[in-house]
Amino acid sequence: MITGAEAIVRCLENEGVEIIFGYPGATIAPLFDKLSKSSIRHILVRHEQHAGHEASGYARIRKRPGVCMTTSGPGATNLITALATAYMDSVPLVAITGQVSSDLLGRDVFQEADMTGAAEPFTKYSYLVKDAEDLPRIIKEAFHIASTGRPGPVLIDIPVNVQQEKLDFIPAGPVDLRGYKPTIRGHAGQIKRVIRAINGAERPVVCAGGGIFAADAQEELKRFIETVNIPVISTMMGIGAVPTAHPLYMGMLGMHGKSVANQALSDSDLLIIIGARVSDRAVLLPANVSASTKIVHIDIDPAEIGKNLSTFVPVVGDAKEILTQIMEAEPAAKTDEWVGLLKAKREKLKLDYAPRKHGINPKAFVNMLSCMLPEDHIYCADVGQNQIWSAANCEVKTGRFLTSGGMGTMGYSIPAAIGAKLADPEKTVVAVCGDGSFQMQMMELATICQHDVDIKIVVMKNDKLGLVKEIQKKSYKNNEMAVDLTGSPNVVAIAGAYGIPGRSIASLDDAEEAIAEMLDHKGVYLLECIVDENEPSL
Amino acid sequence: MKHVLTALVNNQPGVTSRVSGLFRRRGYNIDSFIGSSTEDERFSRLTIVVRGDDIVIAQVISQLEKLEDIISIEDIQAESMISKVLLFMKVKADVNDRVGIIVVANACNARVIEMSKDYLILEALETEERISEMIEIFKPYGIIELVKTGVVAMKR
Ligand SMILES: Cc1ncc(C[n+]2csc(CCOP(=O)(O)OP(=O)(O)O)c2C)c(N)n1
Repeated sequence: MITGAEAIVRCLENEGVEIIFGYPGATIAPLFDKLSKSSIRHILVRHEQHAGHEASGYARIRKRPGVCMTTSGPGATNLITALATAYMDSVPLVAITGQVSSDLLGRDVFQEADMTGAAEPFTKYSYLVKDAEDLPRIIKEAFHIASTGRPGPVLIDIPVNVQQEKLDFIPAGPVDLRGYKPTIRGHAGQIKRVIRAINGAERPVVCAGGGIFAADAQEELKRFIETVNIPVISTMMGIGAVPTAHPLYMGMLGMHGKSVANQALSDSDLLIIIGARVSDRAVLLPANVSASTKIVHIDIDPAEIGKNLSTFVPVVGDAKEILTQIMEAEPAAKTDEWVGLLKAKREKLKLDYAPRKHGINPKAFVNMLSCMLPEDHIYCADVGQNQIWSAANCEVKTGRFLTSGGMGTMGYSIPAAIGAKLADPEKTVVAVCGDGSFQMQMMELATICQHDVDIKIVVMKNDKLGLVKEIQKKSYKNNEMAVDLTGSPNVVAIAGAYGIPGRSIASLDDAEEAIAEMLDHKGVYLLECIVDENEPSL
Repeated sequence: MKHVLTALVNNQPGVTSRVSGLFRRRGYNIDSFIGSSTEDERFSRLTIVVRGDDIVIAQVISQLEKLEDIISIEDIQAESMISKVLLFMKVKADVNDRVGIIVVANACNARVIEMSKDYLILEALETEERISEMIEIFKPYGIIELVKTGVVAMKR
């Protein structure tokens, strides 16, 4: 007989879990006690929200569910923003929360929170474990559900007495969930219709979303667009699905996107959406897509298809599989003129990289930064103007661009970078954030120091909540309210207090040297860039 | 113990999930949950059957009473209620079995509402106990599909 806690650890080991991001407390104490005897590494975060974000950064790079663990009550509710963030971006997480003893459930006892209820809208599935015997099955199912189909967070809420209960450990058999069988292969008839649509198209365009990464379909996508000669645009989550410098890539679409990408969208006669939700941020739609444009929507989640756009050919399945099926049917389209037109337009795009009178041109800076980083670097962008500067100006080659696309959660970049670095220590990982969002995550500097995580942090300091200020300028007659960050600390000094080296620059002239210094430094480093508060997003 | 609760609630989105959520928090599985409109379109009537500790159920009822959307709620005792369950059952019935099944159905107070060459569909409106017995009686013939409502109940 072993305890529930021992069973959990054994199950996690069997799932191949290497790292858990967590924060302890009374109702999860039995599990922490047994975890100490496991080979699984525990990363102590400084706020539970970041445990979730770090697991998310880890999952996106390691391509397996990230695991986070907190106590009940406030520990669990602190995790909810991270669950919601992961849910919106389809990131596989397994979140384990402690819960009060099962005989006390529902009585509002100390540190009881109805976590399965509270997290319900933000989880793909959740379990409240009532019997320790169920743990092997539940944990196996949780990993399966999180990582298959459209990935997402799964919650396992475990009362403290269940962690202490004794059981005969019997490993779970194969997962068998009657109501859950994601479709992987595209329907042959639908593939034929896709081919017909492509062959008859004159102005096709592919819109790539985060589903390309979830399906690990970058290679297949590249082969497809190169063979047929189709231009590609991407959503924020799809940035890097094809290298940003690829001749067929026209940029990110949407309200913060590139004009040529939006033109490709509105002038197209065939739009092939792959693994994207096409939310309102991406496409101010349906106005932007003409009524005559045929839409092919490829997604693993049938509920996404037709949600925001009416679809001509829906194809449910895994992007990698379906792209392979499409290629087997040898599609061909005459697109030279269309591609030529867009390419010419792209050439003419003016990039505003000129130096500024005050402070640094952040667009030029992030471009320079991404070009100086190794080709396979991981770039974590936060939320705000800095996200838009990064999304529009970063060069992504063989690396990744990680950001909170669906939820737009400030404070995502540094924890995501920590998770990403721990998932792939060979890679150079950088987090770029604003001075507002930095203060929502600066406690994680301690996590970085404690676990010696070598990431590079860039803080764009404009002394404002820049994006909101911009909204107030545009839509509220410049009535600036609650966007002034006066009172903020000197971030280089803050880093210094943690023993983290850093420096501040205020001119583009110093940028190259400062970036080089940051990249040459072995270990975590913080670079502050002074940016004029009136610098626009676009 | 089994409890039959009857509640008059505001006819609004989200009410059923708030009610069922309180049982979920206790980790109780709801046996059946029926909601329907009433003669007054502002209100719905819920009939909930749930198994659980008497004290806990009493407590959940007081928690439910606090909810703005609940007009009234009561745990009705078996002796003071009338209650019925509606059952549809598709039973295998080839030529040889057909007559036998119809005879048994009549004896059980069930009606044949559809007939095909391979099966019959029976309908019955009975107490929960009678319905359970009936299902056992028809099992040997082969039940293809079965659907029943939960208990609808009213205080005498
Ligand atoms: C958690 C959270 N709270 C509030 C917002 C709303 N919001 C979006 S951008 C932004 C300002 C961000 O300011 P800063 O981090 O300084 O970046 P900047 O826009 O100046 O680059 C705010 C408050 C949000 N996205 N996330």
